[in-house]
Amino acid sequence: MKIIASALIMLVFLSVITGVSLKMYAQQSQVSPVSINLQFIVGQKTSEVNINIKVIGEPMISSVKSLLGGPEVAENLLSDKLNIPRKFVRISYEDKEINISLKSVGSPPPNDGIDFIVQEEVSAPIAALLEKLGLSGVPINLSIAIMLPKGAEIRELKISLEKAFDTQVDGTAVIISSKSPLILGKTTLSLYLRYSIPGSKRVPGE
Amino acid sequence: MNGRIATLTFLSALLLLNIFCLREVSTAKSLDGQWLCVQGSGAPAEFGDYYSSSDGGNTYYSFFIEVPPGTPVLDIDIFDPDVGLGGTAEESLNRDRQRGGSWDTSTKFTLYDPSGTEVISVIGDSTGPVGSDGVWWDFYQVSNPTSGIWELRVDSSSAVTNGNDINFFGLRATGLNLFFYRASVGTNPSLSRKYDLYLYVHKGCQFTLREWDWDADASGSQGFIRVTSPSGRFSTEYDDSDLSTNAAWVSHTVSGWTYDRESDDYGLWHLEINITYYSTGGNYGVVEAYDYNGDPIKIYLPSDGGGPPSKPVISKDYIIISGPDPPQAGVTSTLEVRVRVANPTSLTLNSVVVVDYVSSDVTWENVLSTTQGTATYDPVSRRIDWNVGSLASISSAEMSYRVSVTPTSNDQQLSVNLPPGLQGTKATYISPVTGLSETIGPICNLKTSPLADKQLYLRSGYVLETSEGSSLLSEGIPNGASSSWVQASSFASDLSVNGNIEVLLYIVPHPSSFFFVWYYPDVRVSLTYNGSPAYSDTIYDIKVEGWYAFTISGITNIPRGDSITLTVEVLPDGFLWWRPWIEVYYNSKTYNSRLEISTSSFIRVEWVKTYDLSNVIRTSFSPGETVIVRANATDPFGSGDIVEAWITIFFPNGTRAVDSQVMSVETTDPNTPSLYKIFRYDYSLPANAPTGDYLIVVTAKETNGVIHSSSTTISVIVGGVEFKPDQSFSAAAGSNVTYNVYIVNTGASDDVFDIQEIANQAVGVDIWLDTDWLGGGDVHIAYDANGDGIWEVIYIDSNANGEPDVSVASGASATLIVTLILPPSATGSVQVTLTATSSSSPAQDSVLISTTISNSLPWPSNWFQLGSDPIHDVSPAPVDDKALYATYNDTHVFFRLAEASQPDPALYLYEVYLDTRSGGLVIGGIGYDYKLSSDGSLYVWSGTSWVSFSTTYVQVSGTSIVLWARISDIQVEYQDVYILARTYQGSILKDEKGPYMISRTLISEMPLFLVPIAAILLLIYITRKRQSS
Repeated sequence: MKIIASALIMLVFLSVITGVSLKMYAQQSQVSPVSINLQFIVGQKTSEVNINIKVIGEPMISSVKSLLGGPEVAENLLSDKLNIPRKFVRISYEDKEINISLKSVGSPPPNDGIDFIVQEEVSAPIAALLEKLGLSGVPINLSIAIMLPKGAEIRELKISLEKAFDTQVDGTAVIISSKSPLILGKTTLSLYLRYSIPGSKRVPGE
Repeated sequence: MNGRIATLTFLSALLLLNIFCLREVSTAKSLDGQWLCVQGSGAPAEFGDYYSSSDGGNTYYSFFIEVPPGTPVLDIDIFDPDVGLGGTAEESLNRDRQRGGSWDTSTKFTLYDPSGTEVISVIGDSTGPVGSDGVWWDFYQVSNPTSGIWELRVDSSSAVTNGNDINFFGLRATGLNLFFYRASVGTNPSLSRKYDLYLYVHKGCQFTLREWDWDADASGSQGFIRVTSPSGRFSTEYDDSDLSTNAAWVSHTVSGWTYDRESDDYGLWHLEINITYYSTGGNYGVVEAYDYNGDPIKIYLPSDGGGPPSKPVISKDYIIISGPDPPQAGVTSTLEVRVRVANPTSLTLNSVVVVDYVSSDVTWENVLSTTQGTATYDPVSRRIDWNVGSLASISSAEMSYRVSVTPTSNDQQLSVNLPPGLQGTKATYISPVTGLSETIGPICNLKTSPLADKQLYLRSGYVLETSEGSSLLSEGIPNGASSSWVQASSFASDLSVNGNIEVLLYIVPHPSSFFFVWYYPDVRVSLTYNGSPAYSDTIYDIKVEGWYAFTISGITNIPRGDSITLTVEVLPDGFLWWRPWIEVYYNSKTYNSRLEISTSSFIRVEWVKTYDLSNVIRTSFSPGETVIVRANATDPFGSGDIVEAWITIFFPNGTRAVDSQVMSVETTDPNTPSLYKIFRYDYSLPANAPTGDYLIVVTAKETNGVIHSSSTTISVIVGGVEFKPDQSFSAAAGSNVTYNVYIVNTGASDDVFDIQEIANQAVGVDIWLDTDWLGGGDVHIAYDANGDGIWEVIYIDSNANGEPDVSVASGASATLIVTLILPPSATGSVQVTLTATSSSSPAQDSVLISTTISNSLPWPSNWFQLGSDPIHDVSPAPVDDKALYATYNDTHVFFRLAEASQPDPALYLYEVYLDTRSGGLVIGGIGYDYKLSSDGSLYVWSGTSWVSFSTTYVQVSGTSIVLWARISDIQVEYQDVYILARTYQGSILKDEKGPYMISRTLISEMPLFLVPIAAILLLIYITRKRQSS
């Protein structure tokens, strides 16, 4: 019985992931030489981010290659530059595109005693990342997927430049996609998300 | 007529009474202004007087007067017993206070004698007693009162009054102690009042103060209550945040004033009460105290002088006289426990008995002594009964005993005796006041202190030190970076590490986040020491500021000369520049980040030695002498970690001749790393010092408070002897060699010293007493043919005990000439030990004579002594001539200068002057022509100066130096030959032997070639003379 329940949960989870990915793909209506997809998976004890960067078009590909070198060298270089363990950096050079996959693991956001709150300025870190890849100033298609823990209830979600993004909330998942390519150096983008998890309690005395 | 006589008699009696009063000394009274109070029962308990109030205790206060037998007069005075006789003006004088617009309250003062019979009762109210307002009013006076405890009740309960006014009053009992168990205190509006009272604390490890209705709140200070122990070492204060609120009792437990090794702060504790008006009203409360057992504690009024009265006390403590301190696992430490009962009162305590139980944690060492009375120990019940007997006024008695402890672990705490209770340490005696048995104690039990860890603190300058810092520093360590602290002084000796090393760091984490991914610092701590591998521990995801303990395992020993390096590293984490980092707080008392090292390598007192004023090690002293005590304390963390050392010296009866006196630092190890400090203390034995063994205990302390003790013993004897100096020389097997040694009578009276002898191999030992310090006139003492310690011939045995002896006057010395007859079989080092033993005391001392056997010496073997001296000590010892010898062979003439210790021609000059012809440098009327010098030259006197013209050969052998020259270099005329030996320190003449004249008849008129023959004849002459005598 437990196995069936677990399988069902996994199925639901995979469906959500697949659905989110399809939606993100569909929402990239305008083509940019650089697409960045940030996927946050927030657990009860750990939190991780998977960053997928796709670069297309000969000039961009050449630029990245010349900066990073061959795939193996590039992985080491990025591991060093980004402070990410080598095993979490993957680069594949193909004829017409470069795919860069990064992963970083940490802890979930802290609890303020009642809710979890994430309040971030988005554009700066993305711009910094692009700078490391030699892609500063390049218009990008940006999508951000946030998978909150099971049972999380989203209380509040705000994003600046609201008109420039499509925002969808589907249960514990939040998907934010740019409607058109952005140049982050010129755009300030901030995100505010407040959510709660049933069963998490304020610690007495805090 | 009868009326006149009666009147005169009455007046005379009054006069006598006045005389008595004038002579009396009041020792217990309310100090001026420190008036106690009582409120009418109509005042609710929340007004501050719980016991008078009809809604509280509704009862009276009792005050007790101790009246010992023989008290000539009992005179009790009450200050201001009325209630408002002085009108409302009394309030602002901080005396009686009216409530409700009229004076409606009375107080009944009733006195009971020791049998409980009412003696007198007086009502105080707004009308009287007449003349009592604001003055000391004579309440009661009687001559030759019944001895015992008198009780004075002060009653404003509903049995006496329904009013609600406040009556302030004072008490005094002329010449007598006055105590109570509870009292109401207070102050009128806009005023404050201070009380000085004394708690008689004589038992337990703690006691409790209880107070009512201090009205402590946020409206301002309502004063404080402070208690201070008799020694002043402990004091604690309760103020607004501690004191009771309105209509509430609060108890304050006073503890922490006894210590593991000291339970001795009993007696009259100073109880200071400061009460301040409350808002716009007055403020009133009640104070009382209870012992650990819940029994009320007596509170005494001060004496006239403002200080405490005197009461008996019992106390105890211990010191560790051998073994580690604190005790260590598997090692035995011996403790000397001292139990003292003191009677500081003016009355004798009779039938004083002390009972103490020794804990089963310790082993009885069967050493038990008292300064008074007798004590016995029952090994079955482990009980000590000490029958002290009578303890005189202002005296004390002491019992000491020894126990040993062997902990099974370093953190084990063992009890030396039993805690307060039925088997706690206590004393009983017959009260000199009541004639009934009274008990003081049981007092707090003594315990061993568990072994403490050793700390190395993170300090400024990135060093680790054993002392804490005093100003906070913070070290920011970025992600992926590290900071290191290095032990300031490397280990001065090997450090054994027992178990783990804990690194305690106060860490302020600075997390970082990339959207929904938070990065908390992971901190790794590593320890290394001089090339060792890194021993590490890591704590991950530090989220909260606070103390973190890193456990370092695997280090068991750190060698001498190495030093610990602590590295704190923030492991790489985060993404891009979103990286967590930390701050480490350190270098302050609060944020004392540190290493905690569990080790048994602590400070050690390696040795304790005693010296006389000549810096000679001695263990036997006479009364009046000065004993120099030196102690060598080492510390693996270096001499800088040694804080101090102190000394305790016990008389033979166990009392303390010197009690915990700080020693001075005489020497600090100059090496790097510096291991030790040598401490010194000079103790002058009193002229009437008792004889016997004195225990000397030296305790040294390191920075973290760990101490270690070692001890030694000296004997104080009326008689005293020194046998010196140790002598050594080289000689050929089959030859004779002679030494001079001295027996010095350091005792206070003339004495006879027996002489014993033993050698490490066969050797003849022939002893003479030198009487003229020249070649002849000596007295044969004894002869042992083979050095087995059995005298073949004893010539002098004045005390007829079968051992040879010499008689030496007090302060004088005897010179012994010891000739060793070395057999042809002698080899290596021939060592002969001579011992002189006083026949009137245990005083004994030895001297060692060592002869190195060599058959290839440049000098012939058979020396003859030209002369010696009575003791005549010269400093330094290497230039202290003791004897001068000469010999020769076919080509050379040799002179041997025997010194008090090994000569050093590099530092000193040794010379022999010869007068062999006319002219020469005149010294003492004799003109010397030649000079053999330890500088290597042979000099001739030119008429104006010494001129080097040939060689003086020089060789140091043991405690002698030999100078020789070619005979062919020395011209001898027909005259007497004089020889003079001198030693110099620089240009300063230090010692001199001679001049010695070679016999005119034997030498001076002989031709040169006959001189050697004459010398032989001289030797034969001396030898025969000795044998004949």
